[in-house]
Amino acid sequence: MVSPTKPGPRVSGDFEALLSQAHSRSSSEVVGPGDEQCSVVDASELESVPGSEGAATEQGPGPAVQLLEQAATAAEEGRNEDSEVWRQQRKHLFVLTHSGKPVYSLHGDENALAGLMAVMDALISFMKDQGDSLQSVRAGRHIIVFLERGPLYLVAAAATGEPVSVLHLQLHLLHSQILCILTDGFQKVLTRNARFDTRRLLGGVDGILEALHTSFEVDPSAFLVAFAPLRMPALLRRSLLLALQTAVREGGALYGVLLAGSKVAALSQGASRPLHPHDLLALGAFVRGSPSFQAAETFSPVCLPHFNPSAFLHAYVHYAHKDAKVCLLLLSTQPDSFMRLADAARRFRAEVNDSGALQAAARSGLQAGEGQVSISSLPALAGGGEPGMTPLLHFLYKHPGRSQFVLATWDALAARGRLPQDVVPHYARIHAAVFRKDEEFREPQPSPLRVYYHSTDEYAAIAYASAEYELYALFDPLAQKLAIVQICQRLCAWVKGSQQDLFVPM
Amino acid sequence: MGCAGSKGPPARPADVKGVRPPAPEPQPTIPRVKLVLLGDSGVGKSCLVLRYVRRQFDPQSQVTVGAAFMSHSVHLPDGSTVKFEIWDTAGQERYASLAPLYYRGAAAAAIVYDITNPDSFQKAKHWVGELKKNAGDNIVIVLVGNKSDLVENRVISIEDGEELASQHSMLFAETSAKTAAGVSTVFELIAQKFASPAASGPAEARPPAASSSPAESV
Ligand SMILES: Nc1nc2c(ncn2[C@@H]2O[C@H](COP(=O)(O)OP(=O)(O)OP(=O)(O)O)[C@@H](O)[C@H]2O)c(=O)[nH]1
Ligand SMILES: [Mg+2]
Repeated sequence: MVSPTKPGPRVSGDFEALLSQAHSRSSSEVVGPGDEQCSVVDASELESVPGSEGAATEQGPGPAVQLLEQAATAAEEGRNEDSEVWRQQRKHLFVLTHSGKPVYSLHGDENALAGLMAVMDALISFMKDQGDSLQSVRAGRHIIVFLERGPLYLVAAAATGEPVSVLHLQLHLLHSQILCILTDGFQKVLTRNARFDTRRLLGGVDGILEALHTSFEVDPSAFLVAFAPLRMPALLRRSLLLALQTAVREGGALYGVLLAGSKVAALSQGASRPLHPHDLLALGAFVRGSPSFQAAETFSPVCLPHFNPSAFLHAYVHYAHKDAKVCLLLLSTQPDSFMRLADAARRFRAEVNDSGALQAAARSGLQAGEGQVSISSLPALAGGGEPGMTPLLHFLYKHPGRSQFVLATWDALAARGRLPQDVVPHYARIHAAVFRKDEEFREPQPSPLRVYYHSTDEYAAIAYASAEYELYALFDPLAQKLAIVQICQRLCAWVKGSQQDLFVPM
Repeated sequence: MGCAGSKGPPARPADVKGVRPPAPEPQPTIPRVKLVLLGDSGVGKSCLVLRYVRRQFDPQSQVTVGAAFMSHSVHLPDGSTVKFEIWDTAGQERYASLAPLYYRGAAAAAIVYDITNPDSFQKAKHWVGELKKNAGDNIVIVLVGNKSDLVENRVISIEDGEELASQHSMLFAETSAKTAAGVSTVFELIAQKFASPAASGPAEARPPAASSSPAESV
């Protein structure tokens, strides 16, 4: 760990200037006339994000609202416990076919919600008549977002405060997760035969889809389009990586992934076809949501939709360390490659056991937050300190070049009664504001430096985004702005200095 | 369906009929037997393997994804040894089209149903048909009626099982992964078929259906 004795090179002094300008100027104005490198997003824009569905409701409030009322009634008319479920949940995800047949529902039984699904279906056809722009409506506490994919409709109803763009992305990823399990072959069947019951093919997958939903709640992988690396000593990671690359080569595999819980400890991939972070997200949910993998070595078909939505890869899956959920995945295009992959995996295990690299990964995976950066362990100048002793409450740092992010542990926020699922939507809103994604989700493009600052009773939130790094941080609302800016600089410097330990080499 | 497009693997040359010739290894004479378990989801395939290989029962057994692999050596009373390479396949419908991946080249198959579930017995018949059609003539098949401990919920009688087995020249046994009744019998019935040439008494193998007045407490 390198402590930041000098300010970070990248985060230079003009950062501060930008911030002060951000305050002195009115909202969402470009800083510095003609300076296209920098734009400041102000809080007023953030505020507008959750409400930006106004456009949708304005276009056709009457019939849409009527239909939603019907939907609510349908939910109430379902079995009592189900309508309870409907009202209590912060978020619902539904999948139904074009003919209104239920395919999946995150909470409760799709059959009990069949009435609701039918109304959703009517709502969707109504909205389709309004044209493509209509993708969301607000209904009381819930925002309802729609997505059409092939013969399927996906619907999210959320009271989480997440922006439409993020809910839209989550539906997209829910669809990808279904493809990950089935490939897109079933969609052709369904298109030909609308009466086909897709649920027959989705037996026993609830754990997988729930794992995906959990990742939406507690980690920003989805909207950052990035994955969380496992923090571990660089030297030991190096030997993990070498052993993994050898296993991939010897096994004739395409990809090798070593997971530790929800983190990635090492990744071996061809330079020509890097794994898309969203494929990695789907793969992670697939593994975490399939407890049977912990019982024995497994060979399973799995589809990576960004790689090829129409074909399975064949995954060798084995937990190298059960307690720490360290799981080796070797992905091959060859359906008869199990023995070869298993042999390669055996040598991998022997090697990383001998070098101590496996134990190091396990140790890190077993730590609180699977080795997330604890604020109390940071240098004081970078905001380090026990909860209450430092204004830094939490941060999120993305390395866009590697599509990876580092998250702080949640303890300081927990001490204020805040759960990850309260905070992640907040980051999602900040991210949407910084990248101005109000409607459909697009992958973040490398952008000029943007600075964002917004303060409420609860936190002062700050974000810096450039092509080289993105920092999102939450501070005590009483913190001095100057202190905030200085901590952010030192924090970025600390991350840069520690990046060998924090990030997975690619 | 979603699983279309995956063709089964060609059997490795060395693996014809699933009995690999002795590998050039220290113990050169142990025959390896590729055994595949097939049957509807929830009938207890994973529990049977777990009971046999690790002598455990997991009431919370989790639905299998893909197919789980385990190898296990059996020592038969006559002193011979057989090494099983067991493929415990997923019974969920979406994997049905991938089954050839696992049964192709198998020396033996256990088709498992749940004696309390008539649908699973129908599914077992389906697997019998598929194996007879695609798996080659030499494959040894055992029909297994599992959950024999659930006496009061029984729907499929022993006679039903025996009849199906004898129609298709399969071995038959009833088991309980929960109580362990009959479990090792199943694996030993198969192992005897492949034990080292000297001891290879199909002599031991009684006529399939009759072979197995289920060796447990019903
Ligand atoms: N009473 C009783 N329950 C059993 C027995 N064997 C398995 N079970 C239960 O049946 C359920 C399913 O068992 P599994 O072994 O997971 O079923 P499976 O055939 O592997 O299912 P898939 O992996 O989905 O194909 C579990 O809840 C077990 O506890 C048995 O002999 N008796
Ligand atoms: Mg199973």
